[in-house]
Amino acid sequence: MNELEATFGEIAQRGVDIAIGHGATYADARVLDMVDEHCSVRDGEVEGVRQSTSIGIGIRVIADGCWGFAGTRNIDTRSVENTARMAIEVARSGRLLQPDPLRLAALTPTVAYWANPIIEDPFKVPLAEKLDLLVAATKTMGAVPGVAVAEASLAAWRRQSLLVTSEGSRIEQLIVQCGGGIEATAVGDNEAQNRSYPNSFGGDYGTEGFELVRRLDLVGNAERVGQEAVMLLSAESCPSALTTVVLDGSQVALQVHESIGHPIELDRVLGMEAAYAGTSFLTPSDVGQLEYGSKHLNVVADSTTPGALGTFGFDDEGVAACSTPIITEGRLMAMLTSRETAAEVGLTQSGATVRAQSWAHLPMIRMTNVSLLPGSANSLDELLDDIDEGVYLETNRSWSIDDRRVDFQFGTEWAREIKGGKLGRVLRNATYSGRTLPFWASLDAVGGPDLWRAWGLPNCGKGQPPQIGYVAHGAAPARFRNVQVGTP
Amino acid sequence: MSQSHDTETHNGEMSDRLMDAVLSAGVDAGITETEVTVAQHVGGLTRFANNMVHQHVVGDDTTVSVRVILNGQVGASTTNDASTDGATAALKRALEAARLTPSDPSWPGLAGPSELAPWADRYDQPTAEASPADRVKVVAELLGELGPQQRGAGALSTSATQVSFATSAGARHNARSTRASLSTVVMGPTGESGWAEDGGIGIRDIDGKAIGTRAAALCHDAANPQPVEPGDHTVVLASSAVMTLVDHLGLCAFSGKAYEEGRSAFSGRLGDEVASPLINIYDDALEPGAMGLPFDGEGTPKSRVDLITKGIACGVVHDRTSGAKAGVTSTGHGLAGPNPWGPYASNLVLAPGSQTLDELIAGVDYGLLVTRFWYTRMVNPKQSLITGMTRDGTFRIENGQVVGPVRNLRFNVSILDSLTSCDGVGDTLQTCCDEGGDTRVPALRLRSFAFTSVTDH
Repeated sequence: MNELEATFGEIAQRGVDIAIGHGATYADARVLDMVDEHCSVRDGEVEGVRQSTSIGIGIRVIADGCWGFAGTRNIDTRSVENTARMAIEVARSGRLLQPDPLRLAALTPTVAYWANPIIEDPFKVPLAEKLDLLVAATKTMGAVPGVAVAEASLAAWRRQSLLVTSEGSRIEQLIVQCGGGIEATAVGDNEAQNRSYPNSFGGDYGTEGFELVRRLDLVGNAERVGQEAVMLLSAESCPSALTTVVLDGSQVALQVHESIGHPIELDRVLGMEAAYAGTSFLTPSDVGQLEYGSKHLNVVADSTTPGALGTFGFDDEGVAACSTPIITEGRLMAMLTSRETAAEVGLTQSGATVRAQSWAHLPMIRMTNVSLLPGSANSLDELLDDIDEGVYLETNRSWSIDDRRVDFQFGTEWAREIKGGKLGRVLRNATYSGRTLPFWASLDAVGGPDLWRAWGLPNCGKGQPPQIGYVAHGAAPARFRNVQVGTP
Repeated sequence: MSQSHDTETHNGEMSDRLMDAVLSAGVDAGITETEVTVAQHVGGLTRFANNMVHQHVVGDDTTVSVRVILNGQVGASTTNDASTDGATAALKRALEAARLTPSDPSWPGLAGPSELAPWADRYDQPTAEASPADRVKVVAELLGELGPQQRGAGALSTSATQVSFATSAGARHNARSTRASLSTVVMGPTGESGWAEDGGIGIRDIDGKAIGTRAAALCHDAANPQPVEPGDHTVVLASSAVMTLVDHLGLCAFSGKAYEEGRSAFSGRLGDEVASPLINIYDDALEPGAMGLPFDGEGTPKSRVDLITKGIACGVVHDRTSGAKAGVTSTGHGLAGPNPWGPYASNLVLAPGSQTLDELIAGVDYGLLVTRFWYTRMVNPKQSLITGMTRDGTFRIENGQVVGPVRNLRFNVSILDSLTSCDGVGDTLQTCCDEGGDTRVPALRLRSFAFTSVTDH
C-alpha cells in the first residue's frame, strides 16, 4: 500500500511545484508502473509468452490557458524537473492558436488509496498452470474433426499509479485485471469460419483476479466451440429479411459501445475527435431532450461496477468513480465528461471518465462501464417466446459505424433462425444493419438480472494516434423489432 | 523532440552496451540462444480541433526486449529500465518464462549474421529535434487557409526511432529513422467536410499551407450533399481510399502464415488471376519513398516481395516461423517475437499507371468519386469481403465530370473482386500514413463497387 507514494511522492510533487513555479495555473504529475503478461497457444503449442514492464511519469500542465504534456521514463529529480519545464514549453507554444483560456470544472482535492479486490493474483498463478490450461483448450478444440486452427490466450495487467495535483490531490491506485478466451477456425473451399468463447477478439476481461479465468471454464467450452466452427461451414447463409432479432449479451455490449458509448463522449460531441475518430450525431442541447430509444433503454456509466473492466477508484484527473444515469427510459440524461468539457458546457463537475493508455499518453475521455441495465425477461426462451420468425445473433465478427455514429453494420460469428418462438437451424455470415435512434427505439425487451453481466473490451481505440482503452458494458440478451438482416 | 527537452537522445553506445551485457549474461546462464532489441524513441504530437491546439504532447522512451531459447523453450520479456541491471533482469525473467514453457518443435532458430541492402538514410535531424513551436507553426499555416466559417481538426506528429538488434547467433543491426505526418479534416458550417494528409521522413517536406488549401477546397465542394441511390457503381477512388483496400489485403491475403493455414484470401489461389491485369502490388521497405527500418522485428533484412503482378496472385510474405513451415526463407516481414499474428506486409505499394485523376474521372459516364473510407472492417477474410463508410467528400460523376457532392454511403465489397473490375490506374503515388502505416498507392477506377446504404450526411 502506498508504495509509489513512498518512492516517488516527493519527486512527483517536485514536478508539480516546478510547473507552478514556471507559471502553470494547474499541474498534475502521474507516475504509472505497468506490468503486463500475455500467453498464447496455437494447436497445442505455446506460441508466445511475453512479460513486460514499463514505468514513467507524465506531467500535465495548463500554462497561458493551454494544455501541455510531457512524459519521461526517467523518474529522477533532474529528469522530472526538465520534463515539467518541457510541459510548460509545450503548453505555451499552443498559445498562438488558443483564443480563450481553457477552464476546468471544480474538484475537491482528495488524498486516497484504492485497490480493486482480487481473490487470486493472476501474476502469482504459475505460468506452467496457465499454459497447461491453454494447451488443453486448444487440444480439445483441435480434436474436433474439421478444426483447422485452435487458439487460446490469457492476459493479465497490473497498473500501480500515483497522481499528485497542484490542487492538493494525492491518489495512489493498484488495479489488477485479467482475462482470456479461445477460438476455433474451420476452413472450407471458399469459407473460413470462426467460433470464439466467451467473446471474440481475445475473450473476456475484467478488473478481477484469476478467479475470472477459472470461472470462464475455457477447457469445458472448447469442444462445443470447435464443433460450432465446423458446423458453420455447412450452414446456410443468413437470408435477407426485415425481421425481429435477439442479440446475445456480448453483441448487445458491442452495440452499446458503438452506438451509445462513443456518441456520448462529450469531447467527440464538441468536435475534438473530428479528424480521426469522428464526431457525434448528438449536440450538448440534446441532454434532457432527446428520445434515444424505447422505454426499455436504461443506460448508466458506472465506474464502480464490481469486477468490470472499466472500474477504478479515481479517474486520471483524480475524480472519484461514480455512476451516472446516461439514458433513463429512453431519454438522454447525460454524457461522458472531463473537467475541461464539463466546464465548457456549464456543468459543475466531471463524470470521472478521463484515462490514459500509459504514463506517456495524455489522458482523455474514455468510456468506463457504459451499461444497458437489465430488463425483466427471465430467460432467453422468454425473449424468443412471441417471435414467429426472426434471427438470433451471437458473438461479434465484424463491426462498422459511420463517423457520426448513426449508420451501422455488425456481423456475428453465430446465428440461429427463430421459428415459432424456438431456435432453429444455424445460419452463417449473418449481419444486421440499421440506424442508431430507430434501432434503439425498436428495443422491446431486455433480459433480467440473471442474464446480465459485464463484458470487458480491452481494445477500444480513440485519439490520434489511437490510445487503447479498457472498457466494459453490462448487458443482457435483448430483442429488437424490424431489423434488417442478411449476408453481404 | 525539442533540443531543450533534456531527457533522452539517441545513443548508440548505450544500445551496444546493453546488447553486449545481455548476450554475455545469456552465455553465463547457459542459454542456448539469446536475442536482444533496444528501441529508443522520441516524439511529439500536436493535435488540433476547432482551430485550436487541444492535445499537445512530447515524450521519450527506451525499451529493452529480450528473447531466450532453451532447447526450443522460448521466453520473452520487455522493460523500459534501460540500465544494465534492468536489461539483465529482463533476461532473467525471460529465462524463468522459458523454463516453464513447453518446447516448441517448430522453433526456427534466431537470425544469424546478414548484410543489409544498400539503403538511403531515413533520419532527418530537424524532424528528430522538432519542437512544439515548430509543429504549431505548420498547423497555423494549415489553419490559415481555411474559410471564415470552416473549422480544422487534425494531428501533426514527429518522431525519431533508433533500433539496435543482436542475437547470440551473430546477427547485429542498427538503424534509425524519422517520421513526420500531418492530416486534417476541415468542416464547414452545415456539416460538410474535406480531408488531406501528407507524410514522410522530414517535417520540412510537409506543406501545411498546401494541405489546408486542399482540405478547405474539398470541404467547400462537399457542401449540400444530395441523396444517391445505393447499388453497384463505377467509382474513382482517391489514393487514401485505395490505401484502405490495399491495407486490408495485407490483413486477409498476404500473410504466409494464414496462407499455409488455408485462412487467406490467397490460399489455393497463387498463380490465379485475382485482379485486373492493371493491378501490381508489392511490398518494399527499401525503395525510395518508403519509411521505416531496413530489417524486421526478427533481425531479417527486409526484401521486396511481389504479391500481385499483372493481376496474378504471385506471393505472400514470411517471417522465420512461417517461412520454415513453408520451406522457404523469411522475406523480412516478421514482427518482434513472440508474435502470434504471423508475418505482416507493412510497406505496400500499388504500382502507378498512366492516367491522371482527371483522366480517370473522364472515363466515367455515371459513378462516384470517393475521397476516403472510414471504419473499414473485415467481414469475411477468406473472401476479402470488407465493409465501411465513405467520408469527407464523396461526389457524383456524370459524363466524365464531377457534378456535385452526395451523401456518404456504406459499402460491402470483396476487395479482389473490385480490383478485378479495375480499368484505370492513376499516375501518382501518394504516401498514406494517416493510420500510422506506410502505404503508397495511386488513384483507381473500378467498374464495380457495391454500396448497400446511404446516410443523411
